[in-house]
Order: sequence, then C-alpha cells, then structure tokens
Amino acid sequence: MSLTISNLAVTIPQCAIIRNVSLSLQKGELVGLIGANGAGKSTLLKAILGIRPKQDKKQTGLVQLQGQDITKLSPRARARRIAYMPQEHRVEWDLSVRDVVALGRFAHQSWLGSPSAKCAKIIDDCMTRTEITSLTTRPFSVLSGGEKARVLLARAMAGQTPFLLADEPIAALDPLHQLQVMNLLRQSAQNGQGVLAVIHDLTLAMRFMDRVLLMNRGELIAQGPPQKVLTEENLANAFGITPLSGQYQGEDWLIPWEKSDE
Amino acid sequence: MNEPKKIWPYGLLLGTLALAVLAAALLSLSIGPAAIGFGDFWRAVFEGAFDMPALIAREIRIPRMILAAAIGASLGLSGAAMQGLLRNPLAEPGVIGVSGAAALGAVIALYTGLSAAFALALPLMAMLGAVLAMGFLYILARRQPLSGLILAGVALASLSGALTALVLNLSPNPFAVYEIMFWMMGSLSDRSMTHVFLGLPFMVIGWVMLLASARNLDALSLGEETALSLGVNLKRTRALVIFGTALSVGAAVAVSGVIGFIGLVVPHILRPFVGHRPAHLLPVSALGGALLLLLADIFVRLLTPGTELKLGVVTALIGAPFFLWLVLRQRNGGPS
Repeated sequence: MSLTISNLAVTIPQCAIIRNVSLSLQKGELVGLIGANGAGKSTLLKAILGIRPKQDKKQTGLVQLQGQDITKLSPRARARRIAYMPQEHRVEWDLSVRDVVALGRFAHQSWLGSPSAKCAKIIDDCMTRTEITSLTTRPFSVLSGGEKARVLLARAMAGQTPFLLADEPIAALDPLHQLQVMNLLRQSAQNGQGVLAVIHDLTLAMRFMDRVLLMNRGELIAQGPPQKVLTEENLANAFGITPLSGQYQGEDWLIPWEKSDE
Repeated sequence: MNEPKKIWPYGLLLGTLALAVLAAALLSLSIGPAAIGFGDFWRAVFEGAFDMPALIAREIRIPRMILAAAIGASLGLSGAAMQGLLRNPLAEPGVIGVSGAAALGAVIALYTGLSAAFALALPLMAMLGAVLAMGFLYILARRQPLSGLILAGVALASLSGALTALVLNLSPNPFAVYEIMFWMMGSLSDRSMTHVFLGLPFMVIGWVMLLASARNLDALSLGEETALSLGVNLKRTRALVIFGTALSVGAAVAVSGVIGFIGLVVPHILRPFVGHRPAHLLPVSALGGALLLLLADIFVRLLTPGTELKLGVVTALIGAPFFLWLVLRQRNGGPS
C-alpha cells in the first residue's frame, strides 16, 4: 500500500505556501520531512490529510491512497488509514492519560463509543510501548513535556493505521526521550507502518530515517537516503548552514556546525 | 502536584442523579397551597377525574413539574454541549445569543398585542426568534473557525438585547413594559399542559441532536485539526450543537422566560465527576440541570408563597455567587 501525492500546491491570496510537490510514502518506511521554519512542512502534512481550517486557502493536486483519491474517502475511512500527530501538545479539558490515548480508537468505534475488549487491549499495548502505563489515571495537564509527547504518540499509534504523519514528534524533548521516540517510530515502521515525520534534528534524521524529503520555500528540493540529501550544498541552500560530518562504526553522522558563508 | 480526583463510575453517577431527579419531581408535585395527595394524582392521570384536587394535580402541579425538569435538562445539556463545542468553560446557551433572541421574539409578541389576542403567540414567537437567530448565526459563522462562532454569537446576543431595550423604550403603555419585564425574569407559575405539549417536542428533538454530537465533542478536546484527522465531521457537529441548542433552549425560554446560570453552572460542577470527558458530561448535565431547576422552583414556592419570587431571579442570585466561589476555590487549589 502506498500514499502518493502528485503536484500538490497550496496557496493563500498572493502567496504560494506549497508549490508543485510530488512524493510517495510506502508502508514500512520511516521518512523525515525537513526544512527551515516556514518552508511548508506542517502545511504539507495537513494538505495530505485534507485539513484546511482556515479560509482562503486553495489546494490543488492529488493525494492518493493505493490509487484511490483520498478526498473521495469518508472522513472516518480516511481516519482509519492515516493517523496525524499535531505539533501542539494540547488537550483542552483535563482528560486522564488513558482517555486521551483511547481517543486514538475514535474512528473504530460506533457512535455510542463503548470500547470493546479488543480496543482496550490495543490501548493498553500502545501505553506499554510508549512507557506511560504508570500515568494511566493522571490528568494530562500535569504531565511533563516529554510525557505529553509520548501520550500523544500512543494516541496516534492506537489507531493502528497503515500511515502515520507526525509533526515534530521530538520537539522539546530531552535527548533520552528524543531517542526513545525515534526508536518507537522506527519500530512502527518495522511493523509495517509508513511514517512521515517532520524533524528539525539533522543528526537524528541522518541516523534514523530511511529517506528524507528536503523542503525549501514550499518546494521539495531533494529526496532520497539521508546521506544523499543532507549534503553540504543542499544544507547551505535550505538552511544556510555548514555541517560537520563523519563516520562512526560504519554509520554516517552529521551535526549542524556553523552558518555557511554567503 | 494534584492527585487524580475521585471519578465516579459513570453508570453510578447517572443512576444517582436520576434517582435524585425523581425524588425532586415527587417533592415538586407535593408543594402548593392546596393539599393534594397521591390518590388525587392517580385519579387525575389514570381515571380522568374532574374534581378540584384532581384538576389542580393535572392542570397545575404536573405541568409545572414536567416543565421544570425539561427546561432544566435543556439548559444543562445545551450548556455542556456548547462548552464542549467551543472548548470554553465559560460558554453557555446565552453566550451565542439564543436566549436573547428567543426573549426578543416573546417581547415583540407582548408589545404588538399578539399574545393578548392569541395566547400561544408568545411561545411561538420566541421559538421563531431562537431558530431564526441560530440559522443566521450558522450561516454567518459557517466558514469561520469555531472562535468566529463565539464572536458572532456575542454580537447577536448584544443585538437582541439592544432590540429588546428598543421595544421597551418605544412601548407607550407602562403596563406592557411591566408585563415584559416580569416575563423576562423567568417563571414557571401559571403554566399548563398546553405549554408542555408546545415546548416539550422541540426540547426532545433538541436533546437528541445534542446527544448525537456527544462523541465528537470528546474528539474535539484534542483540537480541531486532530479531531478532523480522527474522522470527525466538524460541520455536522457544529450544526447539531447550534440547532439542538436553538430548539431546546428556544423552547425553554418560550415557555418559561429567561432562566440564567443553569447552563453555565451545572456542567461546571459536574465536569470533575466524569473525568472531564465532554461526551459523558452531556447526559449527566441534563440530569443535573433538571435536578437544580426542580429544586430552585420548589425553593421559590416555599420561600415566598404569596408573591412568588421569579425563578430566573433566584437562579441568578444563587448561581452567580456560587459560581464565583467555585472558580476562586479552583484557582487556589491548583490547575482546574
């Protein structure tokens, strides 16, 4: 199964946020979406989902799931295939951790919403994998940033969708939890999910991603394995930085080092 | 660090509230100047008796009890739904102008003398006011994010308030002004089964619409975008809440006048008991609203049997300080 985006463009009056983006995401791969702030990464994720809360945004192009136009799917059918993890870690009411994770099963439940034993098991399982079982009855609002991120990741995992779009899943996490979340995402991919994650950490992108997509000012300027995409030239173009890179035990590493010369 | 609050099992909470509503309903039936026994209610309802106690039971006590319960339920339920939709604990039906618009319709009926010519003109005009206003609001805010809905609603509420004041201002007859002012304070005295038959069907349709939105309100607590990604039909949810509120609260105001604070206070009190889940809060707030209005109506009749205090005055008098106390207590006790 694959998710294919062709010639996607999003414009607001007098400004193109995304220009002519084409890409595809396969099941079982972990793909990083990188680019400077304002490059259009979040907009791209929302466009793939068909979420356009603001007025005056025009979207053209085609998003296909296994050859089928995604706008032809019902919202519920689409929700069962693609999960979305937003950038903000916000829950409006003071729901308990388990209630938040349980919402991940939303599209799988009847409108009366009584959770089945199978759903309960999936929810427990996702909570175990993200190591939040000890927080079950805690109100979401009292959690630390790292705990919130894991709870929302568990929520996104609970849908058991073929595809997951995550908007900066490791932003604001400490190094240990960044590694933990990256490992979880890699695990999900190994279990057959297609994961597309916006990521700003080039070092982790180099280490963990099967493929990266590099965006600059609304355009996709490069895509492929991290070693091929995160080149000095591309990074100077997209971010204006020069990296430091090398090899450690046969693996490539890279860290952003300094502002590149004009 | 606050400890997780004690959350009641949902079924137990519903059952307890339902029992309390039943007890309050029975108490409500037993209160009044005439001594009416259980036998009189039996004869009035099941035997169709026409003696004085049976008539009082059938034409005064029973409609009053039903209306108090149904109006309270409408206010509590739509308050909870409105707070869930707008994700704002300060939202209530009045905020988006439904009560004000219904009151305006009623005031126009009183002012033009329509209500004097035809008794049902008042509730019908009030219903019309509520539904027209909500239709207008829906079209106005259709393409806006939900925050736009609040702003449009607030504007609509002030507009109906201003138009009501204008009608009072232009009224040549001081008695009409007096009558309008009194009606607006909200009351359940002198209502008959006709009012029940007129209001209840609309309220019930409204309840069904509001309850149908419940699960989507749960998903909305993760924000509009995530809710959309979870498969929520946001447009339909919004329409269900707006028109469900218009029908149930419109009918409530049409029958009783404006009764404030129940839609705000009841969901607020009950929210911690359902673990803050918007979907569970809806049925619980309906029962809580019914309970509170039944009790307030009993209180009004017991306190001043001669010249009755107006129900809307009492709910605001008790509700406002209580709400203030609740808010201050929560602010001192950590995150709410």
